[in-house]
Amino acid sequence: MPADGRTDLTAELRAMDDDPPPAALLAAARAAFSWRTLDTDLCRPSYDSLLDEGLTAVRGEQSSRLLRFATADVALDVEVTADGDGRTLVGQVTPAEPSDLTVRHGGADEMSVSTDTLGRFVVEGLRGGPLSMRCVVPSQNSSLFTDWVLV
Amino acid sequence: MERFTPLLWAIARGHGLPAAAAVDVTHTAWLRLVESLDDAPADAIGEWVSAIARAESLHALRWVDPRPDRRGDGGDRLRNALEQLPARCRLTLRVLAVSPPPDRNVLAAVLDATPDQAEAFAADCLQRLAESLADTAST
Repeated sequence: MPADGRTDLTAELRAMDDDPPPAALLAAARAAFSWRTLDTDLCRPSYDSLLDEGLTAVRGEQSSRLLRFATADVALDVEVTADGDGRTLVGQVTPAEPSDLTVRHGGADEMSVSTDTLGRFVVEGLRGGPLSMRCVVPSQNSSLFTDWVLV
Repeated sequence: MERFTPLLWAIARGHGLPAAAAVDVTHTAWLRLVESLDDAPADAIGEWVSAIARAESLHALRWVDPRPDRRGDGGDRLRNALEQLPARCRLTLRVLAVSPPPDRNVLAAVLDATPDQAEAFAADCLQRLAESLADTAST
């Protein structure tokens, strides 16, 4: 096939593109900059049941996923339960003591909770989408900031 | 940075994700890029973020019902010809059609292949599309 035929076909494909990104997504992309956390090493999951266990969620039903994030000083274990679009987090911060947890979700909202004396926490009322968490353990003067995970 | 949004969207949709999941994947890729601007290779940001969009799309497919990447109402000859092709070809052609056109390194990231392999595969897909169009025309 001559090269110009390919060029024509690519041009035709381009011309038929009637599925552009939604306008709301472009706005969200601009807003992403305001979420930037400077000078922080972001933690990727060291364990993700979705990937590590090859589990496939049962569609349309309640399903859960386990995530673990860890630095040298702090670990964060979270079970994310999905119920339709809703998400609930149940987890524990290690060391097991009171700490502060901030959840950024959906790219536009932030929610803060305090863990109990054993580092446990529950966060309800989240929506599916990008999620990032930060936990601060005051007694250790240490913190953990996670990268974005789509849940 | 906004120039990447059509590309990321095409990658997510090209994997067969419905619009809501494709929004989440694109959004996640964006946030990860923005958070990692200092670490991402400055001369290869397109590849870097495309690889993330590919990985996030594959993750999302584990819990989302994939749907055919069917655009519009269909019915015209190009759409019909596209639907005859395998999913990986449809993804490739979808990404090729993004404006501005992705370079070979981005295509390689989308397909998780070497640039040479990606280019050869894209050429093969265009060839198959042309043949599929010819078949449609002759029936």
